[in-house]
Amino acid sequence: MFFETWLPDFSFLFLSILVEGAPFILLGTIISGFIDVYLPSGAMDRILPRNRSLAVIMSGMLGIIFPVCECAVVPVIRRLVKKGLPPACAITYMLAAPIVNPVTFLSTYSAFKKIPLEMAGSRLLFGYVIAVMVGLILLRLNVRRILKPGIAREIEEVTARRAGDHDHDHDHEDEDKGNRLIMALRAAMRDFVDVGIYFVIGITIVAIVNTPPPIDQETIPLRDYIDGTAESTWGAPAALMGLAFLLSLCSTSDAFIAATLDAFGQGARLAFLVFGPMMDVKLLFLYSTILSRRFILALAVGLFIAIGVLSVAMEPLFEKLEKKNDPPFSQRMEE
Amino acid sequence: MKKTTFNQIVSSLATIAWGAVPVYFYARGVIGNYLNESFHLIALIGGLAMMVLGLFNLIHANRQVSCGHDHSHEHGEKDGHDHGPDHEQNPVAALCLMILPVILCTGFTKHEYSKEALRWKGLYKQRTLRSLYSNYNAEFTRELLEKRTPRTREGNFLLQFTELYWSAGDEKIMKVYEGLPAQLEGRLIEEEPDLNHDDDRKRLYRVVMTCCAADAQVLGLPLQFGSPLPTLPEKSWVTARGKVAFESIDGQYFAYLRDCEVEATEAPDPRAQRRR
Repeated sequence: MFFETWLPDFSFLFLSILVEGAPFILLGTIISGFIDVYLPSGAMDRILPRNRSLAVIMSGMLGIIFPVCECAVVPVIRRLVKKGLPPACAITYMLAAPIVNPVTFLSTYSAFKKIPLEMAGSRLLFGYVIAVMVGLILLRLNVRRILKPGIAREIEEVTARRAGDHDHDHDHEDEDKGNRLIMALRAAMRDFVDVGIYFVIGITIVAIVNTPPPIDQETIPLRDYIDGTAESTWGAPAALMGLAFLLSLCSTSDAFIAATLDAFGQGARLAFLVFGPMMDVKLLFLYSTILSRRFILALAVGLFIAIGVLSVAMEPLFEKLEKKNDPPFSQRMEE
Repeated sequence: MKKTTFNQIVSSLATIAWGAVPVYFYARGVIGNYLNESFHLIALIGGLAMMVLGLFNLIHANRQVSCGHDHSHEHGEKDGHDHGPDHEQNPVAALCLMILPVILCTGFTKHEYSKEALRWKGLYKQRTLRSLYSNYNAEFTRELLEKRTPRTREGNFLLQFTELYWSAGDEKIMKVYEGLPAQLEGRLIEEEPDLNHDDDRKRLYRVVMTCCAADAQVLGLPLQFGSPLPTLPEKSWVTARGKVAFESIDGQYFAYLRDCEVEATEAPDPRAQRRR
């Protein structure tokens, strides 16, 4: 049973997520490699406003200019943080970019036929607001409480050197362009392997959860448990956020899955669409390449509560919008 | 061999191994089992890029290009760069977590779900999707259905599998489809014994995925045969012809084709389907 069905099914699922996600991780790590070699230290300081709050607000919108999904964004911000981007801005961008970008907006718009603009707009707006809220809170926290100790130490060392404590200039005139390309691609591969290892752990868990257990074939699939919560005010968004967490879908196409969950209200589906790109199993492990474990846990709980509350608050509004936009045929069906 | 060179080689091999998987699936023609069509080209380009990156670094594994010492440093404002003291990846971790799982999974995968997984993914379940039929701004009638659906020479309507599957559950929609001569394509599998008391049924199914196989839903439609059951192998692609009917089991409606006949066919080309 194990070798005949479970292992082939697990392998099939594992590889399907791997071949879908790996190209995006590669894209992120190549960008990160080139940032490492070609982006001058302190460049981010010059790009972003000096006012930190304003910088966080702006970081939430960077996804419009640099649209990346959640797999690609982690290696990029990892490198940008090392280059001096304040962690609050980096995490705001990391949380917002997979949602606040034109590709995600268009896919959500196409998936929700009944209230396309309202759903795509709400997703974008809530994704942005939640990410900026997190960023503004992080401005008040010490870097050591947010980042992994090793990365926090590195940033502090770089900051200290830039402040003049240990300025260490030396010539690299002998470095030709070829050498820099090799350095960039070497850094890209190092990041790819670094992130890839955590990605594998994440997708292994996702694949296990989605593979039928090898012993009890009567086990009820996860989706059936979740469908049972559809009528519950608080249970529905909580269950769909849990589903988003376990499925670990790509933000550019998760709206098509959300659209099929029509036993649920639009508010609960919005929770699925906002929570998923910010926190899921694979991201949990990708985040741990840069963020401290304690912070990831706090972030997961905070997002779960904030998005859950927002989605419940939005449900009556969505119901009104749905009734308003219902086509005549559908109105007759409900009679 | 230096430790850093060895690490570099292992990392390069891990990157090549990851890149080889989508390229191999693409070359074997099974990529469609793993990913939605919109991701095929991305996976191929990504796979090739991973292989190039890995090979490039493998070729230059022994080349000394860093500053020669392990710390951050700062250049002038214009063309400077700042690279931190990145740690070297543990080669054992890269080997155990990146290379081995990929090789093992590629060896074990059968490029499709087992029957148990199909069942788990909803092969014998019925779900309703009200929103599919609420997209029409006019009343959905038999006339509208006939007008927009192509027919075969024999007069069978070429229905989309999903369209018929989602029609169950709403009485008005079911009336529109009831009795319609239809032709569908899908894969043939045994019917659930509890739903096949007269032993005259098989099931047609399709796997619908949005991104990859992990998010796939399996949609199944019973086929009832007046004549003896077909003896085609499990999971064969077939063209099924019959009349649309609905039945209620435990208070839930299911669409099925009655007086059915099937013939083996090739797996449909997704690009041709999309054009249609």
